[in-house]
Amino acid sequence: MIKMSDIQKVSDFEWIIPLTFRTGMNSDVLIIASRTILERSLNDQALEQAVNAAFLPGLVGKVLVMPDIHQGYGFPIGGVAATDAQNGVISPGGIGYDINCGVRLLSSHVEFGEARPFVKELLQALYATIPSGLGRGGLPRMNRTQLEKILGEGAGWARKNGYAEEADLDLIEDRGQIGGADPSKVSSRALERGLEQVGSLGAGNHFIEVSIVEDIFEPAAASVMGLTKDCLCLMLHSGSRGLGHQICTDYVQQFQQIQKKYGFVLPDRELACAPLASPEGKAYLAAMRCAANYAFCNRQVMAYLANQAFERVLLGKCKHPSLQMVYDLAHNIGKIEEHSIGKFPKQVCVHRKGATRAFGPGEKDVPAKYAGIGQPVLIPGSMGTFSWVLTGTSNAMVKTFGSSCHGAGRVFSRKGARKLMKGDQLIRELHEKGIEVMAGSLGGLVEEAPEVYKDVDEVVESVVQAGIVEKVAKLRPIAVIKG
Amino acid sequence: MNAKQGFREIDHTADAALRIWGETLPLLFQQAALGLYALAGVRTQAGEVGSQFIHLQGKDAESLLVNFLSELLFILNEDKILCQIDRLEIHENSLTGKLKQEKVLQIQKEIKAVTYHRLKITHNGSYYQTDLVLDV
Repeated sequence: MIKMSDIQKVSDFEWIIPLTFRTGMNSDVLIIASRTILERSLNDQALEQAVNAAFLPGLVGKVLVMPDIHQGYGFPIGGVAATDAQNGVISPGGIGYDINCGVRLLSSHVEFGEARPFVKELLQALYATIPSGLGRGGLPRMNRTQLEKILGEGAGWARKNGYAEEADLDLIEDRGQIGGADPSKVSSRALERGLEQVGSLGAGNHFIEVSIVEDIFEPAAASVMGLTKDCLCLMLHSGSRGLGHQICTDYVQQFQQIQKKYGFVLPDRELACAPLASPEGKAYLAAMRCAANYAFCNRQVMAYLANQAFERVLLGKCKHPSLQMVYDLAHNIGKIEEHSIGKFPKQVCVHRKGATRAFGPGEKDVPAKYAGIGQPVLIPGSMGTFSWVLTGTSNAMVKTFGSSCHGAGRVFSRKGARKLMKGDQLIRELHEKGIEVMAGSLGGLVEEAPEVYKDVDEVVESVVQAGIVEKVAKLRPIAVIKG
Repeated sequence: MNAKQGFREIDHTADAALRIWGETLPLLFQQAALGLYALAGVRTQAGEVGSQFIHLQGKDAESLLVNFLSELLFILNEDKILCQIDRLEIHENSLTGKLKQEKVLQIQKEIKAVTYHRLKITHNGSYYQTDLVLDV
């Protein structure tokens, strides 16, 4: 077990587990967190998992831990690790099964005051329009050719087929299409699972949330993003569905066979990896990018459907009843990026598992619209708490490979959550707080109760105080669909 | 543990985890399958709708277990079929068996994948035992 005495304080919000802590570690672990969050994170295996990740070959810089850290499998959730693109490895367990699980935020000019009587109707319309839970999506079953186009083109496919505007693509990480995706590296099983799930939310912690802009901290940045105080927003949280799960399953299985061949000895089999330059590493990267593109397309189609529902319910009742893109980002992904290491630029593969890219102003991959303010960083809270809109900083480029946290982070297990309360009780409590909820399963809803998460405001304060993001706005939920 | 074989859910912060035990490896695998279906909240229509043979390879018992459960998970998610074990044999790095199929009426919870996280099958003289983490 890791103890506080094993951890060195750098500042009030930065802590180090040195690589001398355990023989075999290839880098330090840098934890971004307040002391309270750090002490609480000692209660599960999360920091052990971060130390395990520090055993990966070819690491560059430090393994990073964000304040929403909690125990996952392989990597902790809220973990970032960069490996040398030439001589390092890629680990599917450092990205996760839900490849390109991510968040999209849409804004509107609809004032809560005028929309208030129609919130329940809006929630029902969203629930009816966007399939959630297990199973198929909002579009008809694809054929194999159409699916392969989605895997290659991502959100670009959605634009070509009328589900997006060209301007939408500019506001998606990587314009919703990561190059180098190769469907021939995706198994038949994964393809089969992808055929009928385009435009679906999925289950677990995936959600659609209608919220109000409660507070603005940086008016100029909020204005660029189209966020207006007291107006409605819509946030989507979803990923690559069964296709992504199957790709990760296939490659974790395949990589078990090659650890000996490459001489890798890792403390956890879920960290199984392949050299990025090897045939196996290249194949996984190409397949993982297919899943990433599928997820970008999936969220784009859902946003299109959400806008239809929004307009259908509010047209004639509210002024300007339409949704506009703010940003769409991935928080489970591996990306080849260039970062300054010392004085020199270096190509690295940044594994972000439950972590968000947070590039600062002027970075070349930040959309032109946000060049002056930095990339929007979207931090969903939980059903009953605020969500946050932040921006990346140049400090993040130096300290964290341009990365930040991705949410509040769980503190309670799902088993523990089910003991806390019943689903109908939770719905009643949220209703009393002014939040309407619909869910496919009451059991699943309870597992996502606000009480099982950390205080998102405290998590956000940690990343702000560490200087890797700046606050722009906070959003208050008024209607939530849980998958 | 008060039975010769069984499973129970154990705490895991983000995902779901099971402790599984059985007197033999096939019984351990059978309990793992039952645990997987129980976590997913699967409800089936009474009666068998078919059967299928299964043959899998793995580098060790842990690989076989992940392969086996991943196979059942794929059949559950894609074909909406629950497989009861009719016969299961495990020899070193291979698994063969016959599965009885039941039609699935409802799946309450999505299980994304079966992981290798800290997976180690041990034998304490009486039982095989392992802890298994599932991504949900």
